[in-house]
Amino acid sequence: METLPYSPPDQDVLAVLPPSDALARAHAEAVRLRVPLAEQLAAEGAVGQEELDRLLAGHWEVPYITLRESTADPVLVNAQPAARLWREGWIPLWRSADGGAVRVGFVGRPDQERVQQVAQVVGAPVEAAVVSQDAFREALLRCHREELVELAVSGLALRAPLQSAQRVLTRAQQLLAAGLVVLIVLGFLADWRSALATVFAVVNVAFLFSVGFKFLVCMRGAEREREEPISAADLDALDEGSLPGFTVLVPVYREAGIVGQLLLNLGELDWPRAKLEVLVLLEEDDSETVAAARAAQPPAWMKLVVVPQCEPRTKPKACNVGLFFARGDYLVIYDAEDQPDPDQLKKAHLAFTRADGDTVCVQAALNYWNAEENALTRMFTLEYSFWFDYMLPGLDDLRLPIPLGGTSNHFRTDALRRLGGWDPFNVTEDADLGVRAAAEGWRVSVVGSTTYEEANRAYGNWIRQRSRWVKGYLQTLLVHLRAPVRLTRTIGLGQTLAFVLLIGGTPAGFLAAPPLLLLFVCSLLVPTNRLIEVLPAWLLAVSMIDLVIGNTAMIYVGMMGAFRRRRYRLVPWALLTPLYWLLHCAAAYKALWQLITRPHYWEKTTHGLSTVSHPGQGPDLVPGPQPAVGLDRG
Amino acid sequence: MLHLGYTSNPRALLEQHAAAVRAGWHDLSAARVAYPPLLTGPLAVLPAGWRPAAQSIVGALAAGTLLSVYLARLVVAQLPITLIVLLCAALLCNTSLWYLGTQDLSGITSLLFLTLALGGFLRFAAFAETEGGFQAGLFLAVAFGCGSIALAYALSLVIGAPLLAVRRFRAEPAAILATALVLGFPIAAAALGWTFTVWRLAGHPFAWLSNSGNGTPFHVRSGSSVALRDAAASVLHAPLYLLVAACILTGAIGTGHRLFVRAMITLGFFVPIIVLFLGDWLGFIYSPMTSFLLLTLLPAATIPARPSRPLCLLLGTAAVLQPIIAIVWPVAGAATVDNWIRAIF
Repeated sequence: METLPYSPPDQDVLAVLPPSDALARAHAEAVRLRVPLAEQLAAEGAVGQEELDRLLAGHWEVPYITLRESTADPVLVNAQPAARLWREGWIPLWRSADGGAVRVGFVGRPDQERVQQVAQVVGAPVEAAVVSQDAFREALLRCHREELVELAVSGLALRAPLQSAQRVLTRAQQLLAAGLVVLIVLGFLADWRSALATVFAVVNVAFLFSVGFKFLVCMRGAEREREEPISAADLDALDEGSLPGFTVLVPVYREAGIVGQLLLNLGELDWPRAKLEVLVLLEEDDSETVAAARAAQPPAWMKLVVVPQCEPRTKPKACNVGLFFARGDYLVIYDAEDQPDPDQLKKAHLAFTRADGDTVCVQAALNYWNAEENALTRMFTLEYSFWFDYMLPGLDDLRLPIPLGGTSNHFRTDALRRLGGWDPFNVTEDADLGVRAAAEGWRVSVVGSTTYEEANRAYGNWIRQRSRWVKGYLQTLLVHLRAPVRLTRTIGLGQTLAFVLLIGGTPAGFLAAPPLLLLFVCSLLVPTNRLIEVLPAWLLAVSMIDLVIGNTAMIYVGMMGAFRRRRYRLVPWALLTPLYWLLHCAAAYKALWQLITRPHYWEKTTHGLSTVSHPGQGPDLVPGPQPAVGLDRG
Repeated sequence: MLHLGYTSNPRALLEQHAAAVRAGWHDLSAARVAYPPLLTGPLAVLPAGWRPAAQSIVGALAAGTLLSVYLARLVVAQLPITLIVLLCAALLCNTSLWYLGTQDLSGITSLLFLTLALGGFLRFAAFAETEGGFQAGLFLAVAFGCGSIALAYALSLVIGAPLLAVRRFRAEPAAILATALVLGFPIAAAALGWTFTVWRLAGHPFAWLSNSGNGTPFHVRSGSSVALRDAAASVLHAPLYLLVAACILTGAIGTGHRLFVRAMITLGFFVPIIVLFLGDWLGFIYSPMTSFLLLTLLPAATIPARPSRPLCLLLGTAAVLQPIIAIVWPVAGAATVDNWIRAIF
């Protein structure tokens, strides 16, 4: 972890604890991992944090204070910025009876230098005491509630208003949208045939470009199949002592039933526990999940952070609170039901060490463990397989903006803070962050590791989830096109076009599909010579070819994605992709409606609906050619 | 003295179709003669006077590319230089390549895309490499845009894949259908899509088959005995093909396999012959020059890397025999080629 400047020295810890084999082993391990002994002991659960702090306080001859609800004076605490207090590890508690000195709780040893620095800050003599880090964090959350909420909710909007989705449309965008509508209406009034032909022509071209772009990117991604950038040997060669700290954020809301599984899944992560910090982000009003989390008695390296209740009630807001408290050099988001590959954190670390210095994030692949539960989970798995196994690697290879997935995005924490964290008003905060990173000249890459999730098996639940994603894409498009000239100057025309085709083309394709489908149905029912009276012949021909090419391309990439995962039984299901798209169309129109009426509303996806027993992980990505059988050349 | 301007039936037909497309595009009736679209479309855009030259240039480019792909495959396999020269000669010392390259744009371009598809096919079938599958499937679909013989090629690969990689597919039977879909879906979609488009635009869904000059589909044209004779003749004209099949069966190529596996792979290797026989019998497609070239290209894709000296000797001998057989016993359709040669000289 970011070694706190106030971690108690090892000799102090050794002085207060009775010698034992366990202590000696912990000390040896701490030396090997190059972490403070106190952190190693806490990670092993060998001694409680509070218990050790009490002993150390006695050793340092200062009192130990158990922080409770009414312990710290909010006025005193609020006089200092939360960030300073957290970074420096102290909290002013109360003034002494004569009003002269200030009692200050320190995390770690309150040595003379620290005490003098704090005295200068508070402007009064300091009476030192020791407090535990977890209690310190909870006290900060209580006392600096307003500041932390402000930071989490409005931080980005204040820092860079143009980058926040708090406002849906700028004035210029409103005028442009209005102008476009007026133009279309006037066009139809003047010459409806020409206007209709123009609209269909534009829709066809946009649709073909969008599908063609995705297909070409997938082809590029397919070329990387033979690479295995991070091998088992690379992982074995890692010196755990050189590993940095890793923070895992797990936002959880109304998921009391999954908490137990969450502990199991994260317990599999292969990363030294003394360097791992898991912050489970709970919502203040979700008492059921909070109670379940506490009852599960998480290990010492897993902390429960109760996020203050405020609007908007979104995952990115909670993650921003978590970001504030994160101590790791790297940070990753997982959802409550996620099953990441155990070695994912190490792979992410290696990916970072090999990446350019401007790489802010590496995205792992997502896939589903209940892929064959029903038709919907099959189609969902096909979609994710193509997206994460072909599309993202292709974008990475072409150095184009990558919209991040909802989880398993591994960040350099300091770079993430410089980017401003997540936008709490964007309902696909992950996609937005990936684009924002590119817009500010950072890179997002991919890492060859998979996190398994639960695929949505209920159609209504799926529509809610997908409408949120489409709405988020629309928000992201609107936000990042507010200054198109500046965007193009920063990232180049190619990247800008790629962003528009991907982030804009995806919802546009779903919105455009029903009119194209209507034209197709008309072409079946109405004789061609009658249709030509309404639409030009060439447009009819192009529309039909477009329909065939577009659907063929998307069916095919779905097949390839399933094949690569060796999910052979899923391959034929790709033929149903056009029907699956109809669900997307329904979700897209719902998203458009919500963008107008409830732009920041977060449609919560219900998890834990699967009736499949929670298995081990699904099939991995096959890293390159298998040994030849039958016909071979060597 | 060379007399330029000889026009074969396939060339004439393509130019007729291009002219019809250009004339009838405004009411879409030309869709019934627009097949093969990847050739007819661009030709229709050109002025009439440019079309013959365009066909010649594209045909030459296709033939040259096909030859370079063939050569590259031999070089990558690290064959001895002498053997490479002999194998190239087996291809070049036969008028089929020259005739197709100059007189049958549909034939040469479909063959080119098949050759490109083969590279991906082998990696896909044997190693389950999905990029190879992409390559094979997409090139077969493009080949359909050049000629309906691509359907036969695709059928050959789809049927052949589980035989050629029988051990892998026995372990993973679900992969058979998945493999067939990956290989065959793009061309199936292209064929169905084109059929639908022509049906809606011109009212004749299968006009593209008959108007391409390939005969009436699904009509037994030549009779099974005639088709069988033609297929057998094609094989006998390709001693390289027979030799490679024998080597696979005996284990000289792909060592270490049991007899059952070797038999299945050999059967897979013969699938193109079966498909060509069926195609001829049904009156679907048949071009003796095309089938001869196909049976010359296929062995090159199968020769293992760094073959043994005895195998090199056998391959060299077969490569020398092949043009000799073609001279002594002309390939079916030689009359057409003779007319072409006579017209030129």
